[in-house]
Amino acid sequence: MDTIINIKNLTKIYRTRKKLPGIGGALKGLFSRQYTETKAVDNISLTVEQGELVGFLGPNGAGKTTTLKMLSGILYPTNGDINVLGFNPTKRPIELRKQFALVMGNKQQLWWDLPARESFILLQALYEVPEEKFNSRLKEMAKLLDVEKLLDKQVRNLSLGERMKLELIAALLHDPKVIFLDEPTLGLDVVAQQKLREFIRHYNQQYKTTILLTSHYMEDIKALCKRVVIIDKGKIVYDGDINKLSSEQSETKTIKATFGQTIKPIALKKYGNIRSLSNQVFEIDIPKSKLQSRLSRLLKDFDVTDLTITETDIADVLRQLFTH
Amino acid sequence: MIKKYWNIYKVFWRTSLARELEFRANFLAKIGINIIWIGFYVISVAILFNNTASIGTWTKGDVYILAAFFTFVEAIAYTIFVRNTQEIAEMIRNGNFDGILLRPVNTQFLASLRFVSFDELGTLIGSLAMFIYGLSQSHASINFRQILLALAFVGIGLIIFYCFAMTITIMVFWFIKLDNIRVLMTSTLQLVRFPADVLPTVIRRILVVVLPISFISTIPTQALLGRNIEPWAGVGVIISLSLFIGVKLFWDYALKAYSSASS
Repeated sequence: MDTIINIKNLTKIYRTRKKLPGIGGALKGLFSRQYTETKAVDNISLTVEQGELVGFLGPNGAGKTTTLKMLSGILYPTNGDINVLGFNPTKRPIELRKQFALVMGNKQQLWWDLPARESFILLQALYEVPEEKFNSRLKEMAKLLDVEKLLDKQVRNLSLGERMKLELIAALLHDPKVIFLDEPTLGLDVVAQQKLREFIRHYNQQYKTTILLTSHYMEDIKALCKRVVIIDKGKIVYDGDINKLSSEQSETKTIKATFGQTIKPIALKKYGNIRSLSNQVFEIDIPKSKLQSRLSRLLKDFDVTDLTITETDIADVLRQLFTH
Repeated sequence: MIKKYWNIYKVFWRTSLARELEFRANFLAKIGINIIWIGFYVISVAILFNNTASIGTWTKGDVYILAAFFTFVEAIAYTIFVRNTQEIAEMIRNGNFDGILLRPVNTQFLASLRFVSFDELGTLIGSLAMFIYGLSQSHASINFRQILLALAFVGIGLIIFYCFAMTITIMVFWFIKLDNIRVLMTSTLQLVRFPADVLPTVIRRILVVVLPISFISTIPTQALLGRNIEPWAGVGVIISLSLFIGVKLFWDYALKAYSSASS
């Protein structure tokens, strides 16, 4: 398989102006300016093979979007090498721009006052998509996303979910080999999220397109990505199988216990983090090192009728990782 | 290559026109307002020439032709690029400029030409009317060569206009907000409403080679009417074309700065 993305020791440092408070500060700023440096991306290395669908996770400001922007050539790295499809995105070669797409959930590329079809025709010209291919791709994607009837409606009259689907079509019309999806489901309801997710999965399988996806919705990542890259404060803290994330990174295991009688949550506090599902069923996160001792004590102290031990939920593992 | 860009440019016109026609009432109102503005100008020139037969060597018909040239150049400039240059500033401010950088075409071409504005259609009609009326009042004899030369100078005038608008826009990459400088440009351009040869010599020369806006009105009119063309006009042409290359280099430099700085 071919390597599509290759990042080596990538670093990005932002230099921003320090603003001093008040009018005095503002006046001072007119004459002498002070700058602060922020390391948004700190020496990361990463390779992605053709056809992979990789989830990019991290809290706000972790460096996900900055990395995607460097991969797209919008931002120049401070240090390190990037290679996408054999090109250096920093030089922004037109050949590369033809072969990838960047979709940002909070930015739109469709013309607000026109039907989406008009924007598609403009994109067709910009990307030189042959008429036949354009028509067949548009038809296929519109059908999959169930938006055939919306193509000729002004974009301003569409709902956010409908618009996002059309944005996705706009980004894919030219048949990109690599797609960067930055929060594509931002602000969508569960049904629209689900639909978009299904489409992304289908598209990735059908066309073997390489996709890098960031999302704050764990459901997106769990449903779509086998591999996740977790980034925090500009550094990669995990890169691997999503199913091994809990077992390798979590400091806790989660037990689900059903009790023979009603239990007050306060009585279970000393065993770990608790979530009550009813007044007889509880989930408890117990540190791995103390699992045995606490479990035997729990069984001794209470009348437990049912007990299962599972990996801690990924969302909780992430919380543990990011709050360190 | 040229064919590709020509095809794209045709689609710019198509989408822009479709958008314009979405707001039909607004469209018609704008045409009306522009024609009224031209009407004001025509009346003020008429009043002026009620009291005198000529200003310097310029007769009433000549002044209408001059006015026709600058309203025409201004209207074409607004139609094809002025609105885009304002839009670029806005996109840099709100971050949408990133989207322009991703498209597989020349970024300057896309950013500065993608919207076609139909706001000045009324002005175009008005300038044509003034032109015809001016010709009918003028005593100059006009041949084909003069027309071609005048058109070539109009082209130079447009290039200069483009360079001005773009230079101000490019500075936005560093300064974010420059509305006041834009006002300065608009006021400077008001100078083209007067025939340059009524101005003091120093200013006349400046308007040919330093701020070569004489190419927007005075020089095309002189060429068309077979008058003596402003001295140093040849130098002005070379300077204008260099300015165009300069703007391209400045733009490329700004994009580099944008990519290494913005977030």
